[in-house]
Amino acid sequence: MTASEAIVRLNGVSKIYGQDTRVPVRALDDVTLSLKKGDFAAVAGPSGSGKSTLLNMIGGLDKPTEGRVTVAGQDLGELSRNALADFRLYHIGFVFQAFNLIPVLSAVENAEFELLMQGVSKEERRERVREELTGMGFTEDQMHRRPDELSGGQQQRVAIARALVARPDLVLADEPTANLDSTTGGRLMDMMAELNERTGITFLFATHDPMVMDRARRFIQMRDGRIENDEVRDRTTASHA
Amino acid sequence: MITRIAWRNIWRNKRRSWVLITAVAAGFFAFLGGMSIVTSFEDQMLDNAVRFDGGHVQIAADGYHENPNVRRAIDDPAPIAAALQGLPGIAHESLVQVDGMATSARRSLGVMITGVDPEAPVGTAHLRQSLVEGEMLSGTAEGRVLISTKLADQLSLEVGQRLVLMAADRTNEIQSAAFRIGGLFRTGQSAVDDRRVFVHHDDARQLAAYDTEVTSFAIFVDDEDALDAAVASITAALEEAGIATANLEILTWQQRMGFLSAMYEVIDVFSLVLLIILFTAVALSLVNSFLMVIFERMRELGVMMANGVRPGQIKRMLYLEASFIVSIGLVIGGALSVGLVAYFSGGMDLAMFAEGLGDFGVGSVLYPRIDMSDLVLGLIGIVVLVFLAILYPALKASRFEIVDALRHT
Repeated sequence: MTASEAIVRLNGVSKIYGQDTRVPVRALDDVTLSLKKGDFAAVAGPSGSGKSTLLNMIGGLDKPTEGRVTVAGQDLGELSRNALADFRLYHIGFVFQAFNLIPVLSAVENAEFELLMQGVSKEERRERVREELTGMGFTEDQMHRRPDELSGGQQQRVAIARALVARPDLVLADEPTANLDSTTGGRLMDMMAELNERTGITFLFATHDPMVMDRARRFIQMRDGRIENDEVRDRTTASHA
Repeated sequence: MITRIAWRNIWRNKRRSWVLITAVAAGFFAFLGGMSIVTSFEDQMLDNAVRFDGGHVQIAADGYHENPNVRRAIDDPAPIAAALQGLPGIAHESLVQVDGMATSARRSLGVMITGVDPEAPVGTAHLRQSLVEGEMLSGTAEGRVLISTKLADQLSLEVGQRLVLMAADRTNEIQSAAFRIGGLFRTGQSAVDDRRVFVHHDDARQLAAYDTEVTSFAIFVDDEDALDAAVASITAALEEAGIATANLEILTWQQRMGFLSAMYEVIDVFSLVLLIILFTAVALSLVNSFLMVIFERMRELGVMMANGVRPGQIKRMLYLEASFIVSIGLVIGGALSVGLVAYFSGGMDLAMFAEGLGDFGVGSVLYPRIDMSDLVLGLIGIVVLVFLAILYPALKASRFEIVDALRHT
């Protein structure tokens, strides 16, 4: 797959909640979109505009009512629950607003979670995870702490490490800075921008945060389940990226 | 990783896990400990019944079981004794049993006069152990009788005093003979203590007007679980010795003692009912707790599934958590049961229930024992019930819609 090839394609995707009720909600309305490999894109819009729903469709966490979602050449609608789980494991990393680490695992164990599920050897797992966490500023002691012993910023860095360490094609981050102060959030965005530059992993953020929007090199504005604006910025116009 | 998470998950809410572990341990202990006492009860009931009432297998003249009459005798016991001699895992003794009356100066009572060979090593061992006063019968017929302490009270007799035994012989003539009480026994079994008297088999033969005849052979086997095989080998040995087995009946204790056999079946059903009641209570606790668990961890399960964990792995994780809890509970419950058995290895004195127990042919001291089949039944029962109990929460968890789970707070 070359850099110009689409890693994500949405063709006429709609999502209607409560279809059988009196007041069905059209969360996505005939959305057509493609993301290229290496994109560092943000989806913004008011609450209820369909940002999170869009990410859920691309991540295979939810199914569209209409239309087709293709990620890394795979039509997600063709996959069974198990095949979809495997697809997410190997191709997609998630970063959630609420960090969502597994509380009974240490930072290093959380970060290596997907590698372990993939069956990567212990030596390789530990090497890759340590490299990632060390690069994110974790000390040896912090790596062995459980989530409740880490700050919000540290937890989100672990979540990012978990998403990245398996080298996915695509990272989907839903409001990744919403629970962080602006300094910590800025650092994390810088870190993800640097990883995007270095590894070519595609990032798609759903956000309300102007700082995230500023750093994105592609900016997608949504309203009422539709894409209102899709702007590709020059690298120089995207701040800090 | 799933195993590691499952193990750590059970210690997230220690109090809840320990409540579940305690429930499993208590249930298993109640079952296994209870069954160890029931097993002891069964052991004694069977042991006493076979020791005093014809052995594990009895050889008698055809029709004797239906009509245990002194006229139905084995006329030529010597070839049978010779054929039984040397059969591996088998011991035997010949018995002469005659219905009769025991008469003292005070009163008369109906009794079963049992003539035994005092030198037979197995059959008379229980009688020897049950003696509380006086001495065991000697190897020669000398007109001595052993009676129970209960009969002695009823007849107002003591050791050394005289007792007249009277019986109708095989020709229907009334025979009587005076005996001196050589000893008193107490078995704790009503069936024996109420009406059995023991004399040397030659003395019994005189009362029955027998020459060398016997009424039956009591056969004791080493392996009580292989009675059918024992019957087959006994039959084969008799036929090989040219003895017409068609004129004999070779019956196991189950065939002879219908009541006892039925009791065993009732106890088996009781065990199963006990198992189901106890383990259903445990299973319901597990269902309740695991439903709470999955709703508490719904978001976390959603995160795991979003990160590539298959629904089947979520199910496996919950089953592993239940398995860990149940395993710990089983170890504790098993250890308590073993402790109970060890504590009462010298006997569990139930003297206050002696009379009731005696009606079942059981003494007042029980020796709890864990039977392997109860252990296996308990383990299989709990594994099956746990599997069924966790099925619903596990299926529910694995069928969460990921987006709903992630929104859960």
